[in-house]
Amino acid sequence: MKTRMKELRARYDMTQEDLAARAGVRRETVLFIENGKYVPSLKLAHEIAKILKTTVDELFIFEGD
Amino acid sequence: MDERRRFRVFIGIVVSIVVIGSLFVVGAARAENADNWALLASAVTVCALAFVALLVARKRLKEMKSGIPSEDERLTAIKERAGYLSFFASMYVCLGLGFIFGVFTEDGTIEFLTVGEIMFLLVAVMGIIYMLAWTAVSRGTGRL
Repeated sequence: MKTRMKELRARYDMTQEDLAARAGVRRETVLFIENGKYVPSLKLAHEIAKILKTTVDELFIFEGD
Repeated sequence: MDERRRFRVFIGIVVSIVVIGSLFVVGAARAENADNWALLASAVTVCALAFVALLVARKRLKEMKSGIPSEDERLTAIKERAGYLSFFASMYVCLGLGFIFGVFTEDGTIEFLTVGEIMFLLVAVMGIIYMLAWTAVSRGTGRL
């Protein structure tokens, strides 16, 4: 799974800590999602997409899509 | 009980363990009895574990004060996965140890350990397996 989180974070000048605080998770969780090492729950994916003003399917790119 | 109070209670328990464990170590050392190695080793282990737990709790409390959640869905997933893996690994290791003890005790190669020593050994092995599983899973294998 690939993600556009880093790109969108940079667009809104947001650090991993800022995003984690707003999504209510730990910074490591954001880091692991960005590196594709952790697949978030639908609830968290939706929350992150909302913070980054995008949609879940635009934020996460699954292999084969 | 709110999260902060729960942490304070946890720290209190850990401090009690450190104090009691230290008293055991001092008591065993003063007895100058060579047979006390198991007691001494278990007390040192408990103290070490309690010390680590205290450090972790201190870090978590600090994070909580700055608004970082002490647990999130990834940590919960790690706990579940590490628990599942270590349960099966511990089961096979315990069976293996039982077999080894059985074989070597029968032919008299090793002297059979006491129940207390075996319990200490098994709990230590299970703890180590859980820590290894936790480390492996938390490093992120993409299978969470």
